[in-house]
Amino acid sequence: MFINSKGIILSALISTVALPSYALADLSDRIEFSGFGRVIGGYLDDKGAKYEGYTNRLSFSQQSLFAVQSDLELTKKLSLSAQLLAHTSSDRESGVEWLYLNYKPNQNWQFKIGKLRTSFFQYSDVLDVGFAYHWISPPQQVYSGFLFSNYEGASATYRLNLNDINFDIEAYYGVYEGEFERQDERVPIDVDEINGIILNLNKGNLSLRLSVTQSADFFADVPAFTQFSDALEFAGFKENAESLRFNGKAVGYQASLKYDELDYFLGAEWIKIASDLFVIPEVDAYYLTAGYNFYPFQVHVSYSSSDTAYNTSENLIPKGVNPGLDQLSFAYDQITGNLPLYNLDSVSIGFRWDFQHNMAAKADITFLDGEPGESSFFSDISNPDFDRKATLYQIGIEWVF
Amino acid sequence: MKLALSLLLAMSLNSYASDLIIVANTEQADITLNKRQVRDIFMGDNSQFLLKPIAMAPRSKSRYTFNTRVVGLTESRIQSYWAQMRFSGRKKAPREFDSLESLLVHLQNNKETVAYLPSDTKLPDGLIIVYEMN
Repeated sequence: MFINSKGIILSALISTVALPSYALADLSDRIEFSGFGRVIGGYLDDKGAKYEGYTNRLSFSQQSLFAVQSDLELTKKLSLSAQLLAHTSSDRESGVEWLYLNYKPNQNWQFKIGKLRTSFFQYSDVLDVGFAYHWISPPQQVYSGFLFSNYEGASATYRLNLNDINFDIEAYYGVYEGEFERQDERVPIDVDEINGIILNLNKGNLSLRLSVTQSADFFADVPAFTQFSDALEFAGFKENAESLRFNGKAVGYQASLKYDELDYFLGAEWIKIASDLFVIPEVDAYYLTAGYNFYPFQVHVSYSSSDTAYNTSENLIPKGVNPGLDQLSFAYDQITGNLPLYNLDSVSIGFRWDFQHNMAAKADITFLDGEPGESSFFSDISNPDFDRKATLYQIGIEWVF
Repeated sequence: MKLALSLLLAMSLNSYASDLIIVANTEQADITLNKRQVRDIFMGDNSQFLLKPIAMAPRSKSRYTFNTRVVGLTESRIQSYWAQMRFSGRKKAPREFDSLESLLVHLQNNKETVAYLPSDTKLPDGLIIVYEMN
């Protein structure tokens, strides 16, 4: 395999830094520090559930964070970048988010190797950099993280210009070892193969992005699934047993369009995830967004929608033959019938004020309309009568330096 | 007071509307650019020309004119764009200078660099105009 462990890649990067090709005196010219931060407060107007961690008590500790990036120029063409992040949410680990070598032999090619953020969708690799987009939270229907936020591997990008159109083609390959959030539970997961290709086209301020990502060769440890799967296999129901394991793959497709003018902007993004795994649903989601600029202010409105399902195998375990089989068959139905679904429509309106060139204040209101009985991206649902309708209020300050 | 304010306003409007020239320190003597090529060079989308852009810091009048008339985006959209590019490890914004003098010194001392300047700037030797905005 191309890259097989965290250890190898990190030590390769560290040894590169430990063999400096520069004189200490000019280190300050070759190293650049930058960073970003956000302080976000949110309040959900419903007592019965949580959304993005927010409840009906104002909280500033779900999305607030601070990060520092250092870029060290090793030679004219080679640099090393690291991004350290401190997050306030208990669901997020603080630490090294990015660590990679960047090689740019000429204006057309760029190669990266190390720990990288997965750029599945338009804003996936800058989700933490709120300053980079107009919302406080990009639409959850697309950005809730069904897939993985980072990987260890390599990427190659080729840029060219043809008839005033700029093409940017990126291909990447890597592995992921970490955790996965599933119904308020953190599930350890390994993915031995993540690969993808991204095509970016832009002409002036119009840009189009298309991408396909494939994640295969999973290992996920959900003990309840594993034990039940073994029991099914022992009873001779191989196909149903197999469906509870993670030998399948998930493929993500994405298309987005963005148009920016001095006075306004328009954007749309659509994603589709095809999956034969029980830990990743099949997803069809999109958002449409538009904003009006009256510098230094901006107002925007978005509509987002998602539809999810599971590619479950037909239950082949007969009922009514004997009590043992009945038990297995009903248990299988229960597992497949209780997989979390995420159908949600939402409308958000927001306001952004860039009061400094590198600082912005934001306020967003999101009206959420989910499907009763489903997860619909809500968690900790304590009220059984909760109708999956709620309003999320968020305010925040974003900055970069 | 009123007169002073309107004079100030007239002056500032006048300077915002002023024209720019795009100037390069380059060995490619016959190079001329069109508006889209200039935009692409300054937004990091250029893969055609071996020119490294440098820019004025935010709040400068020539930067405002350049953003509005060449790039076609507000300062905040441009800052958001560069935040996305920088923190996703793709591209870096042009190096910025606080004064026209320091920008000119850098331009003169570094081959294959390009910058936008007010059109009435007295050009030092060795720099050529690659695009004129009017």
